[in-house]
Amino acid sequence: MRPPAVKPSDPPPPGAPTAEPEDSQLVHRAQGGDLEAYDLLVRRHQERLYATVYHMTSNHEDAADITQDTFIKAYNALKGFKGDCLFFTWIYRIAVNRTLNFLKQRKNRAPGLSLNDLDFNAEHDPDILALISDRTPRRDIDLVELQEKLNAAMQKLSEVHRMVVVLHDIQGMPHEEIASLMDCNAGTVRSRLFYARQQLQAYLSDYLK
Amino acid sequence: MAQPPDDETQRLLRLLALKRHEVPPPGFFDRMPSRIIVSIRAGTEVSDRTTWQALLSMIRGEPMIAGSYAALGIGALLFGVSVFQMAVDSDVPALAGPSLAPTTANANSGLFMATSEWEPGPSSLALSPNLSGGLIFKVTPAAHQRAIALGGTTTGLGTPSGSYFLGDPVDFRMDPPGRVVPVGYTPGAGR
Repeated sequence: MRPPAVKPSDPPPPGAPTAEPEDSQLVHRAQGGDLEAYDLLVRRHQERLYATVYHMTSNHEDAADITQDTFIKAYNALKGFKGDCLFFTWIYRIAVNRTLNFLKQRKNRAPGLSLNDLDFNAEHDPDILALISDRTPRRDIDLVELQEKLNAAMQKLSEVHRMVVVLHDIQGMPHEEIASLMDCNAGTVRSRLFYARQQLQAYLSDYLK
Repeated sequence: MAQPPDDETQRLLRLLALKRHEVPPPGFFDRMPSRIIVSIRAGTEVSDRTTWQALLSMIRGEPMIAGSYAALGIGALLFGVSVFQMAVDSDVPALAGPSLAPTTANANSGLFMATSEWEPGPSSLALSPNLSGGLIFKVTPAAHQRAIALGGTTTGLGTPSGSYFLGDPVDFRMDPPGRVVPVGYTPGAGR
């Protein structure tokens, strides 16, 4: 149920072949102006970064713009990256801050949803199957409608509550790492998560009985 | 130790799993890196140019903006010239106040206040309309004698430029709030 907490920059286990250069090596090369190295970094982290922004905005175009902007800004600031943390953590923090700023600016206008399609595996996901089993009173509902309701409910949460749901319940990030990204302590993350889940359960009560 | 989620939370987490199946259009992740690198390259090229090259490029690309900047520049130049001219006009140095009438001198500007004390009388101070709308004061030898009587010196009229001599007529304009500004001088005409 909980997604695996993947750390893209985790070093390979001892003895494993290291065909691909580590992030730190690529960062070092990119700091010297090697755009091929930066291209590799982008390819390595873009999916996860995009997904986080997308789940926060529920809009593909906005997510694409913010993700692209994040990588460009990060490159321009790369010389200031001292390696105190993983490159992924560093760029993730940039993306989170840019997304929160974007959402604050978007507050004045209604969030237009531009949802991505569900992949083929959605229909075979055991979690989804369990959800729309015969115990569900709304089993006639199709997945696309469920997806729309879920995204609409997510958008009703405040930015910080949505962020902890995205990072923890969707991306599988541990509390401590979220706390580090959001400049708060793990207890705050837990309480925000608890409150956000309660809110979502209230918004989606028809689909959770 | 974290509490295991209750049933309703379990169902919510299952529902949230649906989000992980939302995927962008096919090929999106193949195109994004190249778009990023192209943007970075473009930004790098721009930052490598000098300010003048960037300005030249902007002028070539936006003739309307360039024209506006040119008009602004010419306007600023004309304004600067006129301000400079005014400053030069108001900086005629010869009539330092203390030599003529210390009690009526404007200490800040070095110009004279037009007062009755300064004016020696109608025979020695001719008034005539000025083109700029002020009054023209013509200093005559009698006016200078009056200035000396008030404690001034005749050398004061000749310093610091040395171009004003006792008895030569000097034209003044009385500006509005009563400042007397020298506007013309004819060397030797009074001798």
